[in-house]
Amino acid sequence: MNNKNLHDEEIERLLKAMPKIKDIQKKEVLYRKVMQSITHEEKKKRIFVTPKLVVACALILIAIISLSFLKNNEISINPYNQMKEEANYDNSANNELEKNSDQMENQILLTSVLEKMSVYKDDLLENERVFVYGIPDQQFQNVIPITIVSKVSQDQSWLDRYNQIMKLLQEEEWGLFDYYPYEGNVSKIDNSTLKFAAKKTHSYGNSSIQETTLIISLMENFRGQGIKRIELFTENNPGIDFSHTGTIDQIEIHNINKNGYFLYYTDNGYQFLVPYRNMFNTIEEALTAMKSDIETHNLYSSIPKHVSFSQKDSGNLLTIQFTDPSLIEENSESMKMIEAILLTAKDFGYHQVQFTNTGLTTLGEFNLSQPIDVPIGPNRIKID
Amino acid sequence: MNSVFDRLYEKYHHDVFQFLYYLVKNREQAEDLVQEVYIRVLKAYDRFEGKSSEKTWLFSIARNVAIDHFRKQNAWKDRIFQRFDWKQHQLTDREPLPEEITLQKEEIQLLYRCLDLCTLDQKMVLILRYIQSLSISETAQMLGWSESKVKTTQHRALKALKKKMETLLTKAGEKA
Repeated sequence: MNNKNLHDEEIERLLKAMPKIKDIQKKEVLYRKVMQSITHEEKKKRIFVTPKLVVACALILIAIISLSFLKNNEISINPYNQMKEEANYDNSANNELEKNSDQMENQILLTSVLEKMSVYKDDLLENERVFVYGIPDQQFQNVIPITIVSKVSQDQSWLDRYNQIMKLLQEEEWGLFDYYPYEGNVSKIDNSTLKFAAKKTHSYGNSSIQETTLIISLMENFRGQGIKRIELFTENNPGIDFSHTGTIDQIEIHNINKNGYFLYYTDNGYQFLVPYRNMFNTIEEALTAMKSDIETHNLYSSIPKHVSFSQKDSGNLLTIQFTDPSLIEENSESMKMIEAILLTAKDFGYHQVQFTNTGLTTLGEFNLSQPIDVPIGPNRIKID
Repeated sequence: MNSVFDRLYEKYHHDVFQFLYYLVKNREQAEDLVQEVYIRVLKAYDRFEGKSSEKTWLFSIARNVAIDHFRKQNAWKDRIFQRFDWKQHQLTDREPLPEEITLQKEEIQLLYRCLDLCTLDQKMVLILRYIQSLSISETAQMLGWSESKVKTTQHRALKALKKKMETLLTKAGEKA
């Protein structure tokens, strides 16, 4: 720019030429962060909001009474004083109103917040199926099952679609390890048996962590599909050589894994409900453990410490009776607890859970007055 | 995903982000601020009365978030650097230039740096009017101002920018 005396037009032209700057953050990540902050603020808000509400409610009450007063008394002498008296008089009504609008306030806040993390049978539309993928975290400490819901076209099998989606997973975007696709192929032998053929150059035998991660992921991925057994191959030869256990030529898939589910947070703001594979003996043991963190695995408690309950089972139905309903609040913490219990119940072989004495009839989309079906897949993630 | 978030994001996210980015000139801060915008939006959406368009409403929230941000930042600066002559140091940009800018011509880079010497009001007008290409009346709605306030502020902003650019170009010329 030779001319040091600029015109307004030139500045305008330069301003218009400024580059467009885009957000590189993923929508899902941002969404989770936003939701986390909102639920985090809920509690704080509740404390501060009450005094304002008391005043607001008193005013509303005065207004209501004054309206009815004016309607009922055609000849009124000094309505205002009388109104005031009446307003002061009925304290219990006042409190009730305060409570109601406190709840209303929270509901306004929550209807937009309480989303399920898992996928349930009723969530599926026509032709939609679930695809679960166990993905290791960055440290290979946990294998985190995530669920993709996708349509399967008529000329395609579930497994075809499974193999397709495997290539589309964006693990790193979700804060996890870039694990898929497998270094090998998954194919069908019969309705309950699959074949996993590792490539000759596979790295699954390099360490015991690689080995366990492969086995756990195969178990996670296929246990919901009626698969009972996976035969392992290296190319066309039976068996995969592992550094730790030697050669393994098949793994059994169990539906009952006796895991407890904990919360896991990734560095970029995702949260997942993750099975801690400790094989608890009883569900009671698992649920108790879920009140504490498991620091060695970066897993956080999914049930608040102060919440206590008893459990009872009748066949496929597990009943969880809470001791103190006032401790169950309509917030995302409770949602996570309910979903963690449902997933744990599933891993112990239950089909439904009935929550009683919660003090709530609904929580998010859950109808707590009826038994709730266990999820068909944990940690729903949407992919493009 | 919440449908309000989904819709607003799809329609306006990049505009809002860009607006905040040019105000703070720092990607991380802009990310934090845009997050704050959605938090306020989702909390208040039930009270959104539809008196203004959704876009206007969203930007007015973004504007408030930015104002709060600078208020906090200034309070912090005041506490830490009470005797520090801030004005003298304003041009030494603390942030490295983002790639989008370094790829541009020299004048654009210079202008980008000079933006910081405008007031917050001036910056907001410049971003909305020129970078986002909004009309005077749209800008007025977003900022909750009268159209004449937009015009005056825009005029002053351009003048201020021009003066600063000229000074810097002269200096650069002398050095060369």
